[in-house]
Amino acid sequence: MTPNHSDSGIGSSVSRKEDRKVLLGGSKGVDDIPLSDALHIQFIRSEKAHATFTVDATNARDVSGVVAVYTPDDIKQSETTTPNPFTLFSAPMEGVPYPDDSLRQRSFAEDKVHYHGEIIGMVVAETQRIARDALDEITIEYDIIEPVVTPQEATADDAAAIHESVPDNVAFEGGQGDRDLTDEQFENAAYTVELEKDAQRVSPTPLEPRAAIGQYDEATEHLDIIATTQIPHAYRRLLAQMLEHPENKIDVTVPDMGGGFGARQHPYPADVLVGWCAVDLERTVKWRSTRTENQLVENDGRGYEGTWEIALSEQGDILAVRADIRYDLGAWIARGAASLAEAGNLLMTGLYDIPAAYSHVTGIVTNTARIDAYRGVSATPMLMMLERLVSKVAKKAGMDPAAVRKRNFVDPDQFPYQTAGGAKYDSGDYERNFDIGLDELDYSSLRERQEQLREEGRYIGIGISCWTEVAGLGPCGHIDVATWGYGGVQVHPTGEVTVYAGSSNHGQGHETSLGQVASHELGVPLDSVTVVENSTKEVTEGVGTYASRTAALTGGAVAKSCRKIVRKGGKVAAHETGVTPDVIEFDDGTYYPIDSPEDAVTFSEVARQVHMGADIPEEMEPGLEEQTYYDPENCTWPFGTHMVVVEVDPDTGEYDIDQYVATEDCGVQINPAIVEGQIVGGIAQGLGQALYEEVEYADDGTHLSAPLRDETLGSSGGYTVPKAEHMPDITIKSTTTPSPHTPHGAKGMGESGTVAAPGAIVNAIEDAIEPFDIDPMTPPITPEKVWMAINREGKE
Amino acid sequence: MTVEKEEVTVTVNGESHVVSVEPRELLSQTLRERMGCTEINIGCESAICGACTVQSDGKSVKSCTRFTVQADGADIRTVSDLADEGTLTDIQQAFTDEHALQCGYCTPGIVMAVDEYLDHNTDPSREEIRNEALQGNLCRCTGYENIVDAVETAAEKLD
Repeated sequence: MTPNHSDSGIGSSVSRKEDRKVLLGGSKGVDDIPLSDALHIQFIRSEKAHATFTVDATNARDVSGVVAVYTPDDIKQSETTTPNPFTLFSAPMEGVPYPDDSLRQRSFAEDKVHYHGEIIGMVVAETQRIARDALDEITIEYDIIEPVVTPQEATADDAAAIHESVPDNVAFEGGQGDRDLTDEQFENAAYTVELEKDAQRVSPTPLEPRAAIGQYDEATEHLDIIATTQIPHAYRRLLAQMLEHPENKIDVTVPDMGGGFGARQHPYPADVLVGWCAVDLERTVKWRSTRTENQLVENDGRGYEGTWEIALSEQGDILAVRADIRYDLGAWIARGAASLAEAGNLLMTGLYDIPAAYSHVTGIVTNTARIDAYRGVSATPMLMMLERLVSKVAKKAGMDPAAVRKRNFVDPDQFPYQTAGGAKYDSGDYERNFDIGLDELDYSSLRERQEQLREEGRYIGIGISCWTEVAGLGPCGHIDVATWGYGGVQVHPTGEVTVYAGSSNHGQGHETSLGQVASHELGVPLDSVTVVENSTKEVTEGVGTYASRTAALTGGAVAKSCRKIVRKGGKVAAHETGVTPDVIEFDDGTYYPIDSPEDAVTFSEVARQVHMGADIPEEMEPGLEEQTYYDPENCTWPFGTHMVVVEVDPDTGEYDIDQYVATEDCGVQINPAIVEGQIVGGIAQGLGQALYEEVEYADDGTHLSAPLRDETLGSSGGYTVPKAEHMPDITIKSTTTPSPHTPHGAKGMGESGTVAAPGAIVNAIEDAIEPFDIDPMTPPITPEKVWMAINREGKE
Repeated sequence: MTVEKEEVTVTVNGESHVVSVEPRELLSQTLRERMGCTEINIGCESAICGACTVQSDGKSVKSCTRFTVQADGADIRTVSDLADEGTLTDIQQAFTDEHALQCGYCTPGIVMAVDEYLDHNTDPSREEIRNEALQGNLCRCTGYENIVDAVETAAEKLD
């Protein structure tokens, strides 16, 4: 049987099915759902980072319209079981045990707070405004403990312990790779470079603030949750564990959601307490965070600081990379945080054939909100530092940074390629993809022009950053939760199709792209395919959308289910036409015997026949519906290179991005326009990390970056999200190296921009001002920092 | 906590409403909570993100920056009022043609801001689109490029 190629199938940039509803104003988020008789929750949150406390809620209880106030004592004394601590995805890395149980996050602080914003109770009232007003009537007495806000502070000799059972504030520590071989390679190197990096916490900042609704039916003991999550089924599982409520008596649905970027996965303490409160009050309760509340507690990304090194031979071969990382976890270890330590190390050798790599990670707790997944996860710091090191060591050796990259790429015939960091890359053709970028820039002419312009007192810089990411995560058994992809496909007797996807659409366009997979496989028009997602009520199972896994894994599962359907239909067509199934062809929605194409049977005729159960083979069950739990043999490893040209004004430190070229290869593209949208969107977030974004804490642990802000220069406080004026036009060029192991060759690619852009942009700025003999820059690179680097004191 | 309420008359998408509101109530709250205009999204509550942008007497405004009492007598339009019986306007059509939205949370506000902008600059450059038309709006998903493309496409059609 041959695959089918309809106009709306795999490879077509069809318009998104999602758009019309949005453009007509018909989207409905959690906060848009009409509820009769819902109570509103406002959380009492700590204003201090590290303190013991007492709460007096007497006056709040008396406010008219307040239904309940819960202090920590009220929660513990309730008949409803106090929520259990959160659990972790997995241990930090192979050979390193799970961190101490006392570091697992609790849903509320009992008598000591560990970060600014931690929940210490809640007010439930008839309206949100009454609940907010009642918050003002609550008195909290704090007894301050000296906070430790950075990993350095937390590991100083006299640092206060955040959790008594972990007196040194070190949650875990371990190394990956071959340390001895790496050290040996460094000793034999002709050139080495070492670079420091600070933690630069960045905030995912989806535009819709977090929200959750809990509805409890006393008679059936059913808890219905409507929430902002990327992983509804896994969210339900964790909620069931934490609330000790049967999983089959909880449902989670996600309406239209305004972004996620990794931060909207498992339930947060607030989500757990919304569920708890619905059960306790046997009512419908709703919580909708403000922007500042969202920024205060939603996980930041990155938090990697430390030292990164590279070793190069006389001839320009990269011999080894080494990293010693202090990983700022925040006050508690978030559910995914520990496992991120391993993820980044897997790809710390990037696209290069490097014989030795070793990284050592120390996970440290601090009096801050937690770190967890954010688009790019630990690949961003690991590859940003690698790519900065490659450019620097090339220059130190008097070689061209592009030439050193080309010399060291893994060759196409080396795949599957085992990296020194522990990954097995599935496929790649790096140099071909890279050369397209060089051609687009006209690289060698540009280098000449750079020299000429310097003589005229103008400073342009070229930055290069190659990338890969752990996409399509991943084979089961690697971490302690399920990681398959789920896709069910139902064919209606009319020939129309419903896809039940275990992923979560919140901007990625799955209604379109997963529909295209089914359209392609079944030869039905895209308009005849409906995709159902984001609901434990409607979709049997799912692992959710994160780690660029949906195209490869949900898409793969949908493709596999469709192929099962096509096979079953083929048996019906064979029965109908009086031939054996092996001589039935399926093409563009039609079955026919290979020797008598005139005896064709359409897919919809077969669908009707199987549904009716009439005239089908005797051993066959009626119904045309299949499901697949797709456990892939490997993750997928997309790749590419970002090249950036900037011009810096040395008098002011200001810079302009003149050109941005991204070459990409994510295997087979289901919808190239959606792929490009993901690339450019990721670049905006990566550019934010390079130039604008940083979550800041005051010395006393006060979170300073909660409100969004419009200006970046000089001021402290607030958080800058890049605007249209900050973004250059992006040129995207693609190659296609299919994944050898996914059913349809797709790899996934949601994070390339956030992984590649920071290194490319920082490299470009540093390249531009190289003649000024600058020290390495620290992102976010403001014009002020550029000016300071050029004009630093003590320089000749 | 009893606060005296004020009566406000406001026209929303062609329909006149009389509401009695506390002086502190924001226009965004009134539109969402009393008139069911959930197409207005609240992203920041501080006049940065623009997800709550509507048109008031033809001018685009962030509805979280207005008190409802200030909107007495105003004619408010939201994105729901643009299409003519389900037929998308040129701007709306350009947004879907150019893949200019992802999660869609910012989209209703951006469309309203662009709709007004193109009234008085019918042939904007890409730089003007970035620096002026989209000045008041944040998008965290798209990286803006396709939005710039959509505004360019829409401007060409409107010519």
